[in-house]
This record gives sequence, C-alpha cells and structure tokens, in this order.
Amino acid sequence: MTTQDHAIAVVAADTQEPPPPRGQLRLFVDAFASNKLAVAGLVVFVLAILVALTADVISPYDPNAQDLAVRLMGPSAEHWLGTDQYGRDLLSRVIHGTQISLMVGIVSITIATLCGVTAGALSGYLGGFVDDIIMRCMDVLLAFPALILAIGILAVLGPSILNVVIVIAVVSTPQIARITRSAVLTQKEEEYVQAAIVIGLPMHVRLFKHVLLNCLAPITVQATLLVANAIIVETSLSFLGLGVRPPTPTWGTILFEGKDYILLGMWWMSVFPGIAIILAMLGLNLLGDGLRDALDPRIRGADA
Amino acid sequence: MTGTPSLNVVNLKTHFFIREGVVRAVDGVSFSVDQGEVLGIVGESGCGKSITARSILRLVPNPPGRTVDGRIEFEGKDLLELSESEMRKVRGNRISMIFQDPMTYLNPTMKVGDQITEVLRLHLDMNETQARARTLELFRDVNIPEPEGRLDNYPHEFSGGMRQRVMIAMALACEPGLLIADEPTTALDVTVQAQILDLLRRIRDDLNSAIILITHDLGVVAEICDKVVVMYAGQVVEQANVYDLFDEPKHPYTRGLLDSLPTPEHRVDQLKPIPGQPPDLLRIPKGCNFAPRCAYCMQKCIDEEPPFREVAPGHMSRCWLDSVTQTAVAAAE
Repeated sequence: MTTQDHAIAVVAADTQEPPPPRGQLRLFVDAFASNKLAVAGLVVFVLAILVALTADVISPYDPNAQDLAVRLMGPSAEHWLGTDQYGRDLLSRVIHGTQISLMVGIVSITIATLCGVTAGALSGYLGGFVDDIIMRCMDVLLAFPALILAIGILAVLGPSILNVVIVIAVVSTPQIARITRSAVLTQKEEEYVQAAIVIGLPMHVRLFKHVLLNCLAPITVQATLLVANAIIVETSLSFLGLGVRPPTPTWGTILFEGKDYILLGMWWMSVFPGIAIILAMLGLNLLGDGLRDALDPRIRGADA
Repeated sequence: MTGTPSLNVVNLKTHFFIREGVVRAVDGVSFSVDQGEVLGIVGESGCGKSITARSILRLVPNPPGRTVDGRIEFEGKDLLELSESEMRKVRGNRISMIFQDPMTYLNPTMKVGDQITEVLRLHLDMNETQARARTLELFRDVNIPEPEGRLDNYPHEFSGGMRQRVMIAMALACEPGLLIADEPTTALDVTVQAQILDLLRRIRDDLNSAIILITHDLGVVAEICDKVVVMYAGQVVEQANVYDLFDEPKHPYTRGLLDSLPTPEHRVDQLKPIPGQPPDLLRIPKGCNFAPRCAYCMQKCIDEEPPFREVAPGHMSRCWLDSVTQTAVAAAE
C-alpha cells in the first residue's frame, strides 16, 4: 500500500494508545474532498440529478404545452430561456430533458456494468477457452465505432427510449468488460486469492467477493466516464432522429428542433440544451477523474 | 507424543508439462506424519518442497502442473481421488495452510475479522454471532493483544508478525487435522519467529494436529520438528527423526547442508558451501541426482540411481553409502 498506509499501520502497532485507525473509506473521502475540481463535478452531477427528480415541480410550464401566441420568443421574464417554434417553454423542456437524458445514461450504464463486469470477471478469472470466446465477442462490438453500431442496431430495432437504453448498454459493455478483465487478471495472481482457495472458498465467492472487491476502483471510474459518453450517444441519436422521438424532450431532440433556426438568429433553442450537455459532460468527467485519483492509493499518497 | 498417522504420502509425482519438456518438480516423494507430530521438509529453493505441500492440497496450477502418480491418504481418503467440491470441504477445514509472506495473503479490502468468520460460516455453518465470538476466541489463542478492537481492522493496520498471527488464526479456525506451514517464519524477524514457533508448538499440543513445516532454515527444524525429510531435486534424499539427522546425517547432501550452517565454532568465512547448482529438473542426470556436486561421488553414482533404503533403524537415505563417514560399501563391491 502507500507509505501513508504503512505509516498508519506502524503507528497503530507500535504505540500503546493507537489513534483511531482511519479506514479506507475515510482516506478516500479525504482525498476526494481535497480535490476541488472533483467536488465541483460531484456538485454539478448531484444538481443535475435533483433537477431531474424534481422536474415536474420546478418546471414553470408543461414542457409539451403549446402556446402559438408566444412562439419563437427570445429569453424573457416569462420564459427565461425563450420558447420554440410551437411556443413551448424552453426552460421546462431542458429540465425535463435532463430527466430523460440522465435516466438513459445511468440506466444504460448500470446494465452495461452488470453485464460487462460479469463477462470481464469470468473472462479474466477462468482464462483459456472462456476468455477467448467472451473477449472475441467484445472485440467484434468494439470493432465498430460506438455511434455507428448504435445507429445500426437502432435502425433494426426502431427508435424508442427503451431501445436507446438497450443500444447504449450493448455498445458500452465491452468497455467495462475489458477494464474488469484486466483488473481481474492482475488481482487473481495476488496471493490472497491463493489463500482464499486454501480456506476452501468456492470459485464464485472467490471471484465475485474477494477479487472483484479489489477491482472496484477502475470499474467505478470507467462507469462514471461511460455515463457521460452514454449521454452524448443518446443526444447524438436523438439529434439524428434515431433516438427518443419528439415531442418527448431530451437535450438531443431540443437541439435537433432548434438547429433550423440558428441561422435565423434564434440561437436560444440550440444554445441552452447545448449548455446543459456541456455542463453534464464537464461534471461527469471531473467526477470520474476525481474518483480515479482518490481511489488510486499511489496518487492519493502523493498529494496528501 | 505421536499417535496414529494423519497424513500418508506415497510415491507422489507432480510434473510440469512445459514446452521445453517435462519438469519433474516432485518425483516419487513418500512420507507420513502422525497426529501431534511436526514434520520438517527441508531443502534449498526449487527442490520441490513447496510443490509437495501444494500437491497435498491440490493447489498446483493445472496446466502446466499435474500430479501424475501417487497417493495422498488423509483421514481414510485418498485426496487425489476426491472431486473438486469434496476437496473444497477439506481445504481450510481439515487441512489448512499458512504462507511465507503474511503481507500479501490477506485480502487488503476486507476486515480481518470478516475473512476469518467467512471460513467458519463456510465450513462449520456458524451464524454471524457465533462466528464472531469464535473469531475473537481465536484471536486470543494466537495472542493478538486487545482482540476486540482488532476484528474490524484491515490487514494494512497490522504489523507483519500480527498478520502472521491472523493467518494462523484463520488456519486454526476449524481445528484442522493437518496444518501445512510453508516457510511461516522466513519473512519475520527473529524474536517474532520464536513467538510464532511457540504458537505452532502449542497448536500441536492443544489440538493434537499434525504439522508439516516447510523451511530452508535448519535452526527452525532443530527448534520444533520431530521428524525431518530432506529433499533434493524433487526427491526425498534422507528421512530421520530430528536427533538422528543432526547427530548423524547419512546423506552427503544433508551433511553439506549442516556444514554450511554458521555456528559459534564455525565463523561465516569458514563455512563449507555445497559446490555447484541443483540439476536442471528438465535434464535429470542418469544416476544419483546429487552426484555432480557430491564429494563422495563414485562411478556407480553416475551410472545407477541409488535406492531409498534404511541405513539405520528408522533412518532412510538415498545413497550408495551407508554413511558419509564410512568408506563406501558399494566401492568395495
């Protein structure tokens, strides 16, 4: 472990009155809290989730209510972010878009993580034939650019929110599987795994409890970054008309509807969902980087 | 002190099948340990002592390793014939093992208490409360100070000696019939070594377990073992009780090992190392494995492999000579 960890172990063992030992969780929280950018990322992410959860309460208007009298209005006191070509309130639509975009991102990556971790863990731990089969399947998926593959699958399945979730889960699974496999490959050679065999633990307990517990850090980081990627993919698909269909608001569909009006000077329809996307990306990436730094004992020891 | 045989290993052969050929890491090893007895397995690095231990628990990575022949009789069963799930019930329960480096054999992300209760719940079907109480008891048995507070610590919060105690507590959890200790004191400093050996001695007396102690430290052997097996190049070259072995080593290799030990009379610069290297296990010589390094080597040793025979009551040696102090019986022939 780190020199810091060693120092703690030595102190705990040598003095008569050991200070209360600081657990791994505490060290992680300290490291994370001292990284201002990471905290900013977390704040943005939590705010986005709060907005998504309270969308119906904080939206000033029904996101789908049309009021042709105020169509294509710029930002004003009544409509902070302006209105679109049907007179719908853009702020309400962006807020509701947050709900769908985040939901798609989080649900799809949760599914991808479950599948990817299982596949990667089995692949790395069992090796040989199983490894070959699983990883070759993942390679096939990885061979296509994620977006192209997603477009291809959606073209077959047809556009809907559920299908978008499935597609993003499918294209993200290999990323998680690869990260998990490499972490498991390193961990399974560790001697505590030998010890777990010696005490007679069955294979599934060794793998899914002992080994995976030690692989959580890279998987968490990768999953966080993939949520950002999933939101981008969802936005792109919706923008292309293959994802969530209008009138359901997502950042992608709002952007799509606004694109025809940019050159007419009605910038707000594209800019505000764009800002929402940028903020979410920035937040998630900062959060992911911060988690990686805080979870990696070497980096943590260095700047503590 | 001794009783019924606990473990009986007969003609164990564990080979590694690699691209360059077959490595005969363990080649026809036989020995037995009784309950309440400590057997030492001695030899230099690479002589097959650890692989022998791992073969008993069937932990040799396959491929490339495979136990190709022999019997391992333990509590009326041949371990080599058990299914993998039956074998799991033996590991950690009836036979447990402790390792050289206690730093790395504990899971760094789990509390040490949880790692031990896991064993108890798995093999003895205890519930959480019972298992925790028993773990506390085990921590007391292995002399961990203030055990109550230590259960919820992580391995990195323990010193090396304390971690080895945790490992021993884990190994003792189910009161095993056989404890295999693979160089348990090598990574520890001398005072801690003595405490750990003391602990092992107490385990032998209290639980009447058989103990196999693998080591290259003859001092440790003299300290605790009842019986000694000396291994060289995958074979047992000498077997005797500890007094006979130290007083009257019969095999030239054992003799060499003892001569290379520093004692107050022999300073380090007067030690007699054994010349040469152990043979490449891929290309074992035709005759005696030790012949190329042996000071007593005769033509017969190069031509013909010596049998493993009783040279004195209860004293076995794989050498054409009855004793290294005596002129060759074989040479006279």
